[in-house]
Amino acid sequence: MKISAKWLKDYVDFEISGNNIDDIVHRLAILGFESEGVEHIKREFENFVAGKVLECVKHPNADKLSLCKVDVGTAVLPIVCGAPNAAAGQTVPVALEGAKVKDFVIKKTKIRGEESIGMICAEDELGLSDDHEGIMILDDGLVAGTPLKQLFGCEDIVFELEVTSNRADALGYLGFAREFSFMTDKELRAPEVVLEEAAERTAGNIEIEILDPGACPRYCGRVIKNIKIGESPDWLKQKLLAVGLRPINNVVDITNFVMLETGHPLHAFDLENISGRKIIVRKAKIGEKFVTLDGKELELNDRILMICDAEKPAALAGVMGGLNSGVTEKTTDVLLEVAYFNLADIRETVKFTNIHTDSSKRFERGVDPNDSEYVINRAAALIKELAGGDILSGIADCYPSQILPKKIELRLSRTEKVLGFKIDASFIVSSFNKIELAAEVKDADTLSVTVPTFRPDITREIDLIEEAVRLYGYDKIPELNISSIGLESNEDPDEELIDSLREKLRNLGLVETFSKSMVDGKYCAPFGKDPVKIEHPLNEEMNHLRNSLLLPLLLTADKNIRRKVGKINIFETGRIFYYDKGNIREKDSAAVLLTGIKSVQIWHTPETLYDFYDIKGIVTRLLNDLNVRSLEFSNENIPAYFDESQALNITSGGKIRGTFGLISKETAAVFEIRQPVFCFEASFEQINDMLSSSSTDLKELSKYPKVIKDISVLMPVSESADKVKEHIKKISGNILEDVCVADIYKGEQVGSGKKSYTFRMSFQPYEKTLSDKDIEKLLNKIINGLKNDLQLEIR
Amino acid sequence: MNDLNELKTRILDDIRSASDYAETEEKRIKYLSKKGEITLLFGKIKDIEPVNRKEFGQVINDLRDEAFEIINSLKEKYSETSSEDIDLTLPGKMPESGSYHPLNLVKDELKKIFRKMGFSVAAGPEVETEYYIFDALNMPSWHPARKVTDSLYVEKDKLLRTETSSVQIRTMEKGKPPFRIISPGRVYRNEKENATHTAMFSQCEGLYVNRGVSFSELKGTLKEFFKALYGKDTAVRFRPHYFPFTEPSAEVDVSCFKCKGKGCSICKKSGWLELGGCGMVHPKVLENVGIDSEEFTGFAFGLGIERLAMLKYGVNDIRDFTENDLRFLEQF
Repeated sequence: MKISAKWLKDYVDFEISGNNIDDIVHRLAILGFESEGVEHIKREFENFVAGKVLECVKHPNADKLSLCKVDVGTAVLPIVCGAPNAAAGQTVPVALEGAKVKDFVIKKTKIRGEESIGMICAEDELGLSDDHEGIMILDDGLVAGTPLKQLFGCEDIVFELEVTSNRADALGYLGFAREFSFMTDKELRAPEVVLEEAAERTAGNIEIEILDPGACPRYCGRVIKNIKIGESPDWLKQKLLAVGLRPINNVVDITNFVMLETGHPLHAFDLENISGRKIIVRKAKIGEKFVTLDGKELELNDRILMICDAEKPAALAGVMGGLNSGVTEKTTDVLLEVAYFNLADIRETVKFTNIHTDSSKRFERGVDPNDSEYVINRAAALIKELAGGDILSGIADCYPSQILPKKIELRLSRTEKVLGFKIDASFIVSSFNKIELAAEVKDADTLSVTVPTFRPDITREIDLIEEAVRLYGYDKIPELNISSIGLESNEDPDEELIDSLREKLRNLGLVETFSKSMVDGKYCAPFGKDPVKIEHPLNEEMNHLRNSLLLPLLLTADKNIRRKVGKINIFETGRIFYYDKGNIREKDSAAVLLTGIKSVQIWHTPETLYDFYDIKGIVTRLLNDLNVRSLEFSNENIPAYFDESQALNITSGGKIRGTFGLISKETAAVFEIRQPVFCFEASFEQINDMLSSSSTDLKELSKYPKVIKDISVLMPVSESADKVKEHIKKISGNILEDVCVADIYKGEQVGSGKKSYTFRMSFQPYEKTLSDKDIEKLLNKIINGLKNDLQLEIR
Repeated sequence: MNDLNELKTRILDDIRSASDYAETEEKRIKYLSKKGEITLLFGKIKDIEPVNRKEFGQVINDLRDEAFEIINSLKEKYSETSSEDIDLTLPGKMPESGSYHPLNLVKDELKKIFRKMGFSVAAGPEVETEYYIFDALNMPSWHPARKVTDSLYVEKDKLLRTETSSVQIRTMEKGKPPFRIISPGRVYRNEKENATHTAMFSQCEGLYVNRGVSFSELKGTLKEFFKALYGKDTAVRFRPHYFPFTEPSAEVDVSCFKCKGKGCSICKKSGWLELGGCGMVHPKVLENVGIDSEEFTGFAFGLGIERLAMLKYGVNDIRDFTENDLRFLEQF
């Protein structure tokens, strides 16, 4: 809502200037009206005058230009003009030499060989509006040479204020002035309306019938005859221009002005076009056609409220007039409408037509049904003043069931309880009365408040408590600390695990990503789970919800590969969504992705690429750190989006708790990735199931030295290291502390189809030092075991 | 036998003469590998007269052990890089470190501060019903957010939550007051994306319901929070506002952490940053979950995590957060 300081001064005698503007902006914000912008308007019109076009002929060398001779009072100037509407006899705004039009300064010049001194201006060139349809035509009564400063010069401050959607009353100057008057402690002065009615009665000239009083509780009409449509006077034009409205003609300008002043929209019909001299307020018929003021043809339905005459619809109630019923230059008799509509009905029309107007904005929020007489009389008096004519006697007022102010009680004790501090009853009463909430003391704890109908937002006690603290000042609310409420917690059980897992993954050197939950459905296919579709997606890239966390990680990997990022080591936690037997399931999950260069070549290490053992290592480290005691892996039932030959399921208790390994070529291809990508994914539910609550059992430390021995085993390529390790453990018993693969050799020396693994065993005795003999015995036992039981060759 | 002793001396001297690691390895191969001189001596045992065999064996055994010992000690010596070889200007061998996503860094910070103030972190579904998003929160039937075109629906009456307030309703339904929770998480709107708007973003909402919870405590709580976030001299300003689910409601301005309220480009010269909305839980919302609104009062607030992160890290385009450009993420 734009508020001009100059205009506001008509209602509250308070000067806003450059000196107090910051203070005003602050105080308005504290009162609930935030400034989204403050504009200082200063229109000097230096070197602009009114001129008379004496002559206007075609330019000899240009089709679209004309040569004008313009009397500017002090001289008659030759001016080349490009506007199609230029004609002799017009009174026009002229920029003289030295005048600044937009960003350039007018100079004596030649245009296509013809001298031109000055410029005839359009409205936009004067900064009055955006209109550039032709030169602006001024009032013929003006004397040539009249400075434009006298006409349009102004200095003003215009606030762009945010009015919250509950405050319909503040969308008019008078309503806002009520608040401003409270804030500045200056009296509010509403314009007095002195109405001079003719003898002829309204009653015989217009009849009003409301067929849907639920949708239209009140409709007032007034007829003004014998008016003369013309331009508005400058004071009116200036007011409208100040808040960004383009002047049209006196009657339309007055309806706009009164809407801005009172906050109550009104409409003017040409009475000639109201067939049967009858207004019928009804819902449209299904399929009924209507053409709006701006030429849009609509096909209506039975939820749209219409203002109709005896034959046809004349306006979309509360939103916009029709093309054929409005005021034109030829209009002599007008019907003024001031109505009150049900909020929901107007919203229905706005929703259906998608037409938003200054009028619909106010009706949607709720105007005052009981200010209709004032509004209609104010407009009628102004029309008579500016356009002449006779105001017929009486208002045609259809108001079958009166809407009355509500009475609401406010308890002081309750107010204190909600606010946490006390506001004096006397302050509440006096402040409420200043903004016309009639408050009186009922008993020691209770105020009785009559809420006027222009405040539909106040319906119960809590609304009054809010008003009380708003008027008291949000800046004066004390800051109290909350007290302890004990240990009762509503902590989500997963929350701690999620954070602990994120911390561990980050400490393993991984980079955390954060991706949209919405994805292109084509990426969901590889992951099997039935994905959830979004009904009205913004675009195809966001038409489904992700059904795996690998999906966003693979998308991220692809994007970063394209950016030539060599090392991609990322993780993400978050929700995945899918259908499970018709129900939408949401699961918190975690996923890791590794691809590309693990470490670049540097003086101490050659370049290495990520491989299967990296993802296995990270998963093992992670699960160990999370206190998963006995890890089991299995390569049965590997999900199809992994490559079966390089992937493992984490299992416990016979159930799959997560999968890691190489993403299958086909899946990677969906994401246009052509390099090996290693991933891990598990849901928090799966991870949670693996966690053991037992604490670590500490091992006793031995006094005797540890012995380390290697054996190299020649085995078929298909044989797994795990099997050999398990057998060594079985044979050695407790004395074996650890066994690991220290070296792998494949090549000519061992022959094809074979590989040589060197197992490094550490033996830790607890009772004595191992002698050479003991060790030899142990080694022989192991070697024989491997030879005989597993048919392996020892090198 | 003398020959043998001579041989022993020659071999051991030769080994000792190795001047670096590689040379030592050469000596090992020369003498101790499968075809090394010492190894081959063992093959000769069978050629020695039986009476001398034991002695011969003894000598070559000792020789082998000594050779091993010398080689191992030399190797140890040469593999220890001597201090002259250290180039102090070469970079150290740094263990790898990962990074957290900036939105989660901010979220973690909020969680840390609010937990200290006695709030628990609560969670709830992201796909919700209209009841939990609109009806229970006193959202009027005409509210624009309810339009199918303004929210992301996945089924009739099932939509991606537009606020995390649904978590508040679910928490209150499950138990009895007092409640003191925050519910950081993702929310969704059917919104065209640009530098300041995205269809998915993150909120951190808070709720405290108990006997005697007041608007003043709300202001105090938020002030404490912002002091913890931005420093001791941070001020908080409330401005009246309208939300259907709270009353009285307020928008929260915080004195600009950069210019301390003097006015700069971050706060657009106002000295204040608008950082959230809040208010006293509307009695109707409490009534909707079966809480006696006369006995209990509550406050609620909501903060935008992206906004906090954009301010904190000077990020100008909100879309950068979900772009996941590693060159961006690695800086955190």
